[in-house]
Amino acid sequence: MTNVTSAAQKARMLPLQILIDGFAISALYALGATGFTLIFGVSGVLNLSHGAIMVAAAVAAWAASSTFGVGNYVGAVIGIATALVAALLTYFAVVQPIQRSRRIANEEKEIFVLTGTLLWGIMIQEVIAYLFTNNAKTVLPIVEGVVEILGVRTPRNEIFTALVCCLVIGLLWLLVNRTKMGKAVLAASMNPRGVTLLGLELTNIYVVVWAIYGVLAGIAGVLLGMFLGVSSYSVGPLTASAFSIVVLGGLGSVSGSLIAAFVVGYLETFTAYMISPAYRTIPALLLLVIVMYLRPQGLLGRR
Amino acid sequence: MKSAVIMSEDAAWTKPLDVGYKDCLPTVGLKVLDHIRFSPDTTDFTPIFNKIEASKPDVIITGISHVGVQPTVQWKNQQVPIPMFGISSQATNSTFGKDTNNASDGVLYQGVSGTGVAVTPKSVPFADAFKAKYGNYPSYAGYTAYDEVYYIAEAVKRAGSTDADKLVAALEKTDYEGTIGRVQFYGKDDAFTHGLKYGKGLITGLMLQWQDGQQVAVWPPEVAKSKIKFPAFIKVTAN
Repeated sequence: MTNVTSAAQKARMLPLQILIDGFAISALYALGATGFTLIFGVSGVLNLSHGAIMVAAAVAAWAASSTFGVGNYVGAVIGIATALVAALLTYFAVVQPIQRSRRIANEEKEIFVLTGTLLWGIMIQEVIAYLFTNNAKTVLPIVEGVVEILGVRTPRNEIFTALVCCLVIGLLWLLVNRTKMGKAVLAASMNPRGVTLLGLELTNIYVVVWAIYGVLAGIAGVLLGMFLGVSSYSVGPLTASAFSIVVLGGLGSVSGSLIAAFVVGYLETFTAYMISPAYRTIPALLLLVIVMYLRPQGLLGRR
Repeated sequence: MKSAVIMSEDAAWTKPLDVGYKDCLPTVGLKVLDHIRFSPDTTDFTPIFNKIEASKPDVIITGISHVGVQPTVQWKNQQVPIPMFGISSQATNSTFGKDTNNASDGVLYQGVSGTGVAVTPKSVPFADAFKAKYGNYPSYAGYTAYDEVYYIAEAVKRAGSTDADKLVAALEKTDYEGTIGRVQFYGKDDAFTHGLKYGKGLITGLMLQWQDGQQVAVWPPEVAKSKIKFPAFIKVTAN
């Protein structure tokens, strides 16, 4: 019984508590950042509508199960599908027109894509706020209840979140390294011109990458909705956290992002427990500044 | 119950509230073990609930408005065994149950009026008309704002002017039965200058609880529809 645990036992449990909670949040960050960095690696696009797409997934899952009563599994699938559609729409309606435009100078296209996706994200955010208010929403967890791990009461859903994140990241690794399609994606990130010389349509590869991104962002969004809940206010912070994780890990480096996600996740959790929940994000941001000074390419960056 | 932890969001409105909590809780026999003020943009409440649980209070006294859904859902998901009681503005929204997937069950919150609660004969017709027009029942601000329009209009008529001093004099004489009770104000020399008069026959406020996805009045006894009840994970200590 947790009620009768002594203060000393509680103090001994604290490191374990940080270990468990930090793992779940880090795994979630990792999943969110993986898709973000994949797109950058392959097509050089920094998608600043990332947070909006994650929130759209969570809110769609919430609306589907609470308003239309479809159950939490179907709700989760609808959430992921929403993110997939939103991601493809981002590519076709925002990114591709900018990349193909002849009126925008090539060297300015990156900044146009940044601005375009940022505005697109704000539009999605406002639509969500208009339709569903800016109150926070939570997705019904797929697994409920709690289990004790060595005395630490842990929601089953937290374990589920961590497992799904690890599984999906594992599947992504298999997809990229073990399938023909994945190898084409990898090749495009190394040498786009070479890929086209091999007779592969670059646009097709981009669509595949945006679709993979959409599914990853959708899963991350729905899981975040179950774990902590989201509101339209979460859009900015979610984009910012993915951005800082990816920059910390090295732009375009998937393994760098994974490491950075765990560094940031644990640093935040440690701060929240040992110092104060109010200062949660500060040390991670300071670390980002330090890394920018000492190693501007990030932990595992190539350039 | 013998002990409490105050959990408030760090905002201007909770500063005087927390002073009041700290002064008043000991007078009803609740020792304040800890006082936690957290940033209103907090999304993960796990460390906060862990810290509260470590000091083993009998109740968590809340002062939350900007946040509501997230701490409530995490309280339920993490099965924090301590009841929450106090101000939780979002819980006054009739959509709070849906927003939290009914994790709200067991939350006790203060209200001025509530769905289906006949605080005065005006309360229920107003709430029903509000729902017919806007699709959901009013939150706390719906009731107070509705009353304000009427007693301010009456005061303007009595004063025959919108001049500030004349209007204040007229408002001091307010005696208006609204949706939240009978509205009267303290005079300018009273301790609570121009504050609403509280008490039996005037405004008492209500305590409501989310039960099985519904907002239910549990205090005062005249309007209470049900007794307080908690979900299974809550361990209520004896009085």
